[in-house]
Amino acid sequence: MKSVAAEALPVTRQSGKRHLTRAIRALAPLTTLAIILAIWQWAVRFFEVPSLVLPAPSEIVLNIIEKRHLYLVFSVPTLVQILAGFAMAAALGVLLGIAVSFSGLARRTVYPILVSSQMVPKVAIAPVLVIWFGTGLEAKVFIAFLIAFFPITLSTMVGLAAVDPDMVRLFRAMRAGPYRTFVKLRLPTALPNIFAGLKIGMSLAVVGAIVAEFVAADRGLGYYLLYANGQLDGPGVFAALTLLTILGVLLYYAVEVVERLFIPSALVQDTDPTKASM
Amino acid sequence: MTEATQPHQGKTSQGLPLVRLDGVTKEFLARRAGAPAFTALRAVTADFHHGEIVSIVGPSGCGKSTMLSLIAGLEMPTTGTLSIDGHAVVEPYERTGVVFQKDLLLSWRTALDNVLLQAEVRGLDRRKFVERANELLTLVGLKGFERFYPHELSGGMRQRVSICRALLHNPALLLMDEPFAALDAITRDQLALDFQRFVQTEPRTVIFITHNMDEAVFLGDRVMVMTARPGYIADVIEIDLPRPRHLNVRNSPEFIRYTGRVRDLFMRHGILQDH
Repeated sequence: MKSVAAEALPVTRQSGKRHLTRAIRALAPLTTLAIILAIWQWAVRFFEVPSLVLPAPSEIVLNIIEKRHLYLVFSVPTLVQILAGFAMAAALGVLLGIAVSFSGLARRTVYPILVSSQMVPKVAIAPVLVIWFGTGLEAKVFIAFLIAFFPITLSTMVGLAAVDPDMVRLFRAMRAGPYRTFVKLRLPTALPNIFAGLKIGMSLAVVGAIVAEFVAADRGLGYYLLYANGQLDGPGVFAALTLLTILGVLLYYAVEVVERLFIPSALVQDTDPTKASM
Repeated sequence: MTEATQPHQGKTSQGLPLVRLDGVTKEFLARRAGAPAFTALRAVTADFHHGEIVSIVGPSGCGKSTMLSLIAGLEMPTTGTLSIDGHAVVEPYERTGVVFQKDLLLSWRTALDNVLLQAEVRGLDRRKFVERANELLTLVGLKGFERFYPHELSGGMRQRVSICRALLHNPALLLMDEPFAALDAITRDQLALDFQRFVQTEPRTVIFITHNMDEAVFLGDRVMVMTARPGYIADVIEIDLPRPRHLNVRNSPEFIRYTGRVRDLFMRHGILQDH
């Protein structure tokens, strides 16, 4: 046995200092948010902005507490539409991305159709979909799916194509077949890209569900947003907006939590944009 | 003391070379229509015997990496025949291990899991190889680093892991394509020393590609000197230096005479020009 002292030893994991910086990093966005809310609260009072135009944060919070039962009931259909649309988009998007990357013919035929289908303004075809699928859940789920689908497919394709050709050579030298090369090399390599696509897809599924509710709905947070607007209920509009935002943020981080399960935490830093400037 | 001093313990017949190239030419199609095809290797004939270490030294673009790709079964010769163990090479030979210039470790796998990749990819039972993987890592001085990820290891350590990966399935033939070229000079010397010791514990046929004349002479039982455009073997030099070779062998008159011969060959072929 010999030592490798001649080579640089890896950095040992420090503890105390890192905990502190992590706490600061977590507190920074919360502090920023608190400051923005404080300025907002003060400005609304100081300039006497009518609550229809811009209610104070305190008014919005009070409105949410007051009508919590209604909001809870209305969150459910919106959440169901988002999740169902996203689940479909994730499953089909990843599968299509994989299928297309396996076959040159599929890539040449499917890809142009996929791209041109994106040029159809999906928000504008929402009324058509309502005619086709009715005003029930299906049409709204389908719109959420349509909007979320493309970025997931595209990022899966990009991720699968991003494999180092030298790595492929190594796998060939180890006599790997296409299946093992896919499972042990291509898919893990593509995971950060796939999850980037899933995060975009999730935020777009939220947009899709809201747009769908705008077109035809009798419940849901998007529907309520439009309704409160018609009633000149400023706090109601902003309450719905706030809840939709919170919903979107939570769903986005849910995808990120799943990402951490798939990608070892030691490697997440490579794709974390918040650490890019450090 | 020059050839096949330690024959490989295998079912293969003695006397016959393990790898045989007979008039192997490799041409690459022109990138642009109308341009001539590029000849990377022209009519190369060479034998590699059981248990010997052969260095192939040459300038960049001389086709030495192409030759390695052919032996690895990653590319097919345009003309000529290439056989391993008496069989024509049509796909990567089963008992080959390859070390590339880049360590090519998977960033999401620990050192140990990267070594075990060789077994997984070949469809072998991973559990049966864990013990050997640990032994190999210990042998290259990486005991205690088994659970480290590549980004936690230095360049030299990563290349040691990739050597362990190439040897996991105990291949009869180890192909190395400038494995130390991306490392700094000191790490490179250390790896060359360790590698020599390492090969002696598990004798096998090694084909070692390098552009470093000292490294070629230091590691090789024979040195094949290649020249460029088109690539062919200009000469083969038997290196009669006792093993294990120590670093100070490089100051010995014999060693200097060998590297001098390699340099003279390069000068005679116009690859080195001394104005």
